[in-house]
Amino acid sequence: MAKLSPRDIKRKIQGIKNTQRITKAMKAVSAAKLNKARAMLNATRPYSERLYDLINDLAMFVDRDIHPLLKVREERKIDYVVITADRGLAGAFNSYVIKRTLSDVQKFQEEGKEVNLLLIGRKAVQFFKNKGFNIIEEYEDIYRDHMNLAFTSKVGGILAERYENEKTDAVYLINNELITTATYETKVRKLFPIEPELSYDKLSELSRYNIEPSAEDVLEELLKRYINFQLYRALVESSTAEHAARMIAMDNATRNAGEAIKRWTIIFNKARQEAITTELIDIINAANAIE
Amino acid sequence: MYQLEVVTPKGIVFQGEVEQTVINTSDGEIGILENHMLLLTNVVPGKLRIERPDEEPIEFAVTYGTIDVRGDRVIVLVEEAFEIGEINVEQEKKILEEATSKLEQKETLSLEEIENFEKMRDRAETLLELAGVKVR
Repeated sequence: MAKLSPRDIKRKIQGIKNTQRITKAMKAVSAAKLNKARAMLNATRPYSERLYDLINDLAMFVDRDIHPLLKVREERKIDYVVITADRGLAGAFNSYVIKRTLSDVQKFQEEGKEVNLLLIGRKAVQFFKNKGFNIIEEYEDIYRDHMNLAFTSKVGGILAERYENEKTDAVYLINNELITTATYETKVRKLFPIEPELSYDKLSELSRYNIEPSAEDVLEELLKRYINFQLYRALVESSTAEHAARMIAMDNATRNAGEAIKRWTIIFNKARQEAITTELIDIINAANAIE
Repeated sequence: MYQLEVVTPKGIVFQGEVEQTVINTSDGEIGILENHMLLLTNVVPGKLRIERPDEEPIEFAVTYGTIDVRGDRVIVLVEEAFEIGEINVEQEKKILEEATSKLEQKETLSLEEIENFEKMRDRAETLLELAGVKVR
């Protein structure tokens, strides 16, 4: 490697400082987005509590062996809803989900099961493209404007239709979730078939209700709300974990840049002194030669 | 007067004492005053109007959900509740276009798919109408 001049090293240090400015800014942006995402996650609690209560109460009115969304089947065809971010620079965030998906798919295929993927997030779409997987649908750029029930009810409808018409026997969601401020985990959760927790003590309360048009109809709609909500919740969870992951990654990058700046500054000082020494030697030699 | 809660996945959109709640259900529009019979029924896209004495009524555009009418409390659980000005007209137009074009290929769709796209279309049409955009 050619010896770098002090000027070259200075330019290098400036480059690293510029990078550090960017990673610092990205950390701050991620921190703000993390706060917003956490607030969104907390905001889902009242809805989910009331929804689950209603479903668990009504589930007793319906024969689980008959209802298409509750009926359990042997799992020969499996759908995975793979949820990643649209962007990288978030450490191992996207690769955790992708790797877990790959290993689960391989395990299912070894068991002779058919696996289909529904992809949400550009990183998932880019990875699984053209690799021979059965892809149901692909969605990119959801997190900016489409993290809402209009989107998740569209996807929920697609998945419910697949389950009802036996194009799939089970649907799982795979996404990252924030565990603590500094750690997140990849979770796989079953979406279909739905498994309500029956609450037998509520039976007498419900018998006083008028349920229109019928308990089955109301439960049917509630189950659809449940599916759409689970998808929404998974997107918000993933988004929250994504911002935390990016914050950590940018924080590490900022620190690494700082260390690199220190190391290169030492090298710069050495190089500068060497240059001065060399120049002095030249001057002295020239002076001696003249004498 | 009774306690009304309007709850969506984005949070509790309204909570307070009201005189009457007017909402669209699968059986048509209903108005709920205090001491209404116990009722559990489906909410369909339309306007939700909340009336309180000596105050202007509050209106929301709501989509699909369930209404739980208890003796002293009414809970409206809906996927979306927009203040009229909040409706994203551009987005809803796109959704309407998507649903309509999918429904044009009815022959290739299963019954459930048709039902889904019809619901998607109804939702978008209702929201656009409530936002003041002529669609049908």
